Order: sequence, then C-alpha cells, then structure tokens
Amino acid sequence: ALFQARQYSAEVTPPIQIAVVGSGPSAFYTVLHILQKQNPKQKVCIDIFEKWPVPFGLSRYGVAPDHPEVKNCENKFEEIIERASTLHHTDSTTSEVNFYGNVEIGKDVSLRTLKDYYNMILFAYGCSDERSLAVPGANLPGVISSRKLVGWYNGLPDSQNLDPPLDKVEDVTIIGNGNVALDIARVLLAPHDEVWENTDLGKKALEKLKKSTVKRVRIVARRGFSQSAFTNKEFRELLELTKHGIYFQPIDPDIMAKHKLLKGKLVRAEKRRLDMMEKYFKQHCQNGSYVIPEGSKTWSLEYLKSPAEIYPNTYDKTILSATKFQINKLKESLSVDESKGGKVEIVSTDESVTVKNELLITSIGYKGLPLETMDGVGIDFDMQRGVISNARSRVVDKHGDVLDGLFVTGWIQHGPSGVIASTMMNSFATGSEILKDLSEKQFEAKSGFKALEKHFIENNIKYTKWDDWKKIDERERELGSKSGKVRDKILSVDEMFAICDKK
Amino acid sequence: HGHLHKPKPGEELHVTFITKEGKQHSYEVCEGDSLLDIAQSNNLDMEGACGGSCACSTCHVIVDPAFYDEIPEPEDDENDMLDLAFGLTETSRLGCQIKMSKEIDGIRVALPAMTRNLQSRDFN
Ligand SMILES: Cc1cc2nc3c(=O)[nH]c(=O)nc-3n(C[C@H](O)[C@H](O)[C@H](O)COP(=O)(O)OP(=O)(O)OC[C@H]3O[C@@H](n4cnc5c(N)ncnc54)[C@H](O)[C@@H]3O)c2cc1C
Ligand code: FES
Repeated sequence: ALFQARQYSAEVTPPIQIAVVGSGPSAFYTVLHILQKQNPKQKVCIDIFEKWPVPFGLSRYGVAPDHPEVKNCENKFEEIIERASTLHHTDSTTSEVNFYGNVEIGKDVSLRTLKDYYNMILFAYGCSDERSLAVPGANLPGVISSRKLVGWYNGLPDSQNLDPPLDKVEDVTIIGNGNVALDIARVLLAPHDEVWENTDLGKKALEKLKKSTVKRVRIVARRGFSQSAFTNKEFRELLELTKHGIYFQPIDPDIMAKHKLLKGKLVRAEKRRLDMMEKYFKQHCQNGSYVIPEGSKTWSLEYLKSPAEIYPNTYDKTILSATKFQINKLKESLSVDESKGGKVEIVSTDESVTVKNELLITSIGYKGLPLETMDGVGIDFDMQRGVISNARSRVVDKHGDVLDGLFVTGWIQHGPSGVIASTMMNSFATGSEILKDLSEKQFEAKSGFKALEKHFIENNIKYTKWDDWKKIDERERELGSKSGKVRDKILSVDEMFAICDKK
Repeated sequence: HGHLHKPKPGEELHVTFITKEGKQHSYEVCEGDSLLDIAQSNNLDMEGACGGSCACSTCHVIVDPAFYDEIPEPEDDENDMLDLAFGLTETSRLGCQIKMSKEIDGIRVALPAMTRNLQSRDFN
C-alpha cells in the first residue's frame, strides 16, 4: 500500500477528465481525433455516456439493415475503447476511454453534477425528436413517424410496440424525400426472404414484414425535383429493385420537362441523378415504351405537393383512407436564389389532389432537443434549429459568450443532415478546438467517474460498461449466426441486463 | 485490413502521397495494394470509415492529372460516394478503389483537407 501511495504522489499530474454525452459516430470521431493528435505527455481520461445500454447511436439504430458496410465504422469505435493507448501516432500516453451505458445525462445525472466532476463536457447526443405535420388528421393512428418506424425495424427497444398495420395496407405515402424516406421505401417493398432475412433487421419487424400487403409506396415532397434530398446511392438502390419485380412509376412529365431545361446548370450529383433515370428507362423499355408488368409492386417520387388533410378509414381506426395534398408551384421559374443558399421558394396554389393511402409515414426531419438541466449551467439552446448554440463547436450562453470547457459536435451541433463521413469531418473540427484548450489551458484536478460512481450507487442507477456491451454483442452474434446473419438484436433493455448479469 | 506485403526485389511499384500540409511521402509497394491500405499502414490521415467497401467517401484522394486516365474508370457505386466527397475535383477518386498496378507506377495523389466548412445545405 505504501508503494502505491508513493506512485500517486504530487509529481503525477492527474488526468484531465472529459465527459462525452452520447456514443454515436460524432462522439467516437471526436475522441479519435483527440487521441491521435494530443500531446503524448498529457493524460486524458474520456468517459462516454450513452442513454441506451449499448453504443453507436444511429449507426446501430438508424442506418438501414441492408447497409452493413456503413456500420463498419463501429470497428474503429471498438478499437478506440479497447486500444485507446495504441491509437497515437506517437506511442507514449496512457490516456483512457471508457463507456458507460444506460445513463441518460440530464435525467440520471444533472449537468451541474457532470460539470463539477469533469474538466470538459462534449455534447454529442444527436437528435432525440422529429418534426411532425401540423395538418388535420396528423394524430391519427395510421400516421407514423419515420423515427419510430426506423427504430422499430432496427430493434430500438422503445419502438418495439409500434406494430405498424402493414398487413392491412396497400398504399403507403411517405412525406419527405431524404434518405430516411428512401430507406423506409426499401424496407416496405423489398422481399423479406431475399433481402431482409439475412440482415440484422429486428425479428419482431421481420415477422410483420412477412405478412405485409404493401403494394405501392409514394414518396412525396413539397418542393421540386432539383430540391430532392436523397442521394444517388439510395436512389440507385430503389431503381435496382426491378430485379425483385418492383418498378419505378415515372415522375410527372411536366416536372421532368422543366427540369431537363436546367441540365447545363446542374451540379455533378444532379446530372448523375438524371442520367441514372434515363439509363433505367432505357434498360426497361420494350418496343420503345416503358410498361410496368401488371400486378407489380411500385414506388414513385412525387413533387410539389404539401399534405393538407389526412382522412381516417371509417371501418378500421388503425388505418387511413386517403390524404389530400395541396399543389405547389416553384416561385420565379426555377431560378435558384444563391443568396438563400440555393433554396428554391415554393408557393401554394388553390389546386388540390386526394390520393388513396392506408398508411402515412412522416419523414420531414429529425430534431434536436435540449437536455434537462441544461439551462442550469447557462447553455443556450436554439429551439428554432434544434441545435445547441455554439461558436465553432464551443457552447455559448444566451449572449453568445463562450462557456468554458463545453463543446458540441455531430447532429446536435449542426442539425440532422449529412452522412457519417460529413459527421466525421465535423467531429474532427470539434476535436481540434478541444485540443487547443488541452494545450493552452490549466486544469484543476477533477474526480471524474470515481465521484460519479458514488452518485450512481446512492441513486440506484444501473449502468453498463464496455465489457457488458461485449457480452450483449457476443450473444447477438451468436443468435444471428444460427440463422446466417451478422446479429440478431436484443430487443429489450431488461433482456440486455439479463445477459450482462449472467456469469 | 491495412496489412501490406513487402514487394519482391525488382517488382516494387512507387506511390507518392501529398498531405494537406504539403509534405510528400513516397513508398515502394506491391501490385494490388490499395491506396487506402498503403495510407493506413503508413499512418497518413485517411480514415476509411467503411473499411474499404465503397460506402463512405472518407478515403477521397485527388489524383495527379498525369495519372488519372491510367486508372480504370470508377464504377457507379464509387461515383455515388464521390458525389458526397467534400472538395471534389475533376480527378477525385476513392483511395480504397485504386489498386496499384504497373500502369500507374509512380502515381501521385493528394489528400484533401479534412476539416470542412459547413455548407448552407447542412442547415436545412
Ligand atoms: C434512418 C437513418 C439512416 C441513416 N443512414 C445512413 C447511411 O446509410 N450512411 C451514412 O453515412 N449515414 C447515415 N445516416 C446518418 C448518420 O447516422 C449520422 O450522420 C450520424 O449517426 C450522426 O451522429 P451523431 O453522433 O451526431 O448522432 P447519433 O448517431 O444520433 O448519436 C447520438 C447518441 O446519443 C445518445 N443520447 C441521446 N440523448 C442522450 C442523453 N441524454 N444522455 C446520453 N446519451 C444520449 C443517443 O442514444 C445516441 O446513441 C442515417 C441516419 C438516419 C437517421
Ligand atoms: S473506405 Fe469507405 S469509401 Fe473508401
């Protein structure tokens, strides 16, 4: 004991304690940047807190099950925890990174407490909410949010009771045309046996998809074709569904005709999008015309329509009958106003159209929310944009003044858009700001997790550690391998803890 | 991944990376090695988030125009990812899709700056 006491004598500087709220890609990439670029003589202790017992945020619970390559980033994240000390380009630090799951910052731990125990806090908790429609009928049971539906098919514990009525519907409308909308269209249309059975799509969802009667999926946006929010990979994936007998309903020729006039002005991705479509029609033309075989499942992209009213089904409350859309037109004959960031304005007309649909999915954007107790430490939250107010990743108060030691990254910094690659670049930028402080500032000794652990015990807060996640991970892989897939996700928090508690 | 073979004497191929700070790093490598593997095993800043499966664009490189035409044309899936690459140029490619061959012996590629100014569309 005496020997140990000497090791911890005054010469040893205590590690700088950093708390990270959230364990999605933005959290891990910021941590990676810090580890790779920090001064090798400085020791940091990074504790990552996650609301769910398991890590990785939307990589696990957002990215579609048929995009396993996208989830390969998780391998790097594992490495960050398991080999933190070997990730340096130089090799002498002993910095550590820990994971603590099932801890909801703001509820289980107030921000005041977290601030008392840590030198720095990084907010990386993504978007916990979603924008909803404000039209009559939007609260009917046959209207489901994309966030819930995505959680349901990806095995998110609190979405497992959703039970969407897929066995009672033929026509589904999705409002919004970002990649989330296209992911959902794929999930609803692609055959379960050939596509989903071999993925990590949740088993409860898979059972339901087997009984699905969905025939047509309509993806509707309020603006025009050139403002489409999806990217080409997702578009191509839908076009390629013809190999399973699922066809693309051509876009309204009027809308396309106007768009083609723009061809010279289009950016690369937009040009490719048009080329892809032309190639598709060429490929599937017979005797000069594109004919969808009778009885095929179809999907379509519809533009310049805003939902105005949603009508219930009079015989079955769980589903809808139709949706009325108001027709919009583009303002100022398609000219893109650069000063508005290329945003094209639309105006509504007095025309409307009513389409048959038994289910409507809203996919008009995720939305960030403040954490409880956030204002207790002076943090300003921009409710309009759903992000933590910040100046170059540094959290600010309501006067715009930087709050020392508080940083933000990922979707809760810049809003709910962008792929993992753009999230990563944003995280590296946040990491650089943290590194600046690490090299320029003095830090007082903070107790970090040691003090927090006491708080957890006193308040009966049950948490998971990295080893617990490894047990859950192993169990999921084991279950999955029985049916030839990467993993079979555990669908409830209780069951996760039961696995952790097993000796 | 990231594991490279040592080239046999006389069969070495050459590649030069230019980092965003403007430093040049040249390596002798084997036929078939991908630029992603070469960069990662030499600790250059190339993330390769999807592990080389053409699904992330974090291995974006800018190819010296003198070599660009010697590389087999990008497939659709590479183009889909290039659409999303930050700071795209006429000679941009994905490092995980470029395999070393005799045709491109001596190739030079630049790593684009990794920090990215947010664009207005990020805020939509
Ligand atoms: C449906 C969908 C599909 C996608 N598909 C792709 C794709 O195919 N390819 C691609 O590149 N990108 C895809 N993306 C985008 C990608 O998922 C995001 O860019 C990325 O996950 C954003 O990372 P983040 O860390 O900011 O947020 P998140 O990944 O959301 O991570 C935030 C984490 O914080 C946790 N948290 C929240 N509140 C608290 C709290 N109070 N205390 C502790 N923890 C908390 C959350 O549980 C979550 O784990 C997709 C996104 C969605 C929504
Ligand atoms: S490593 Fe992901 S695209 Fe090359």
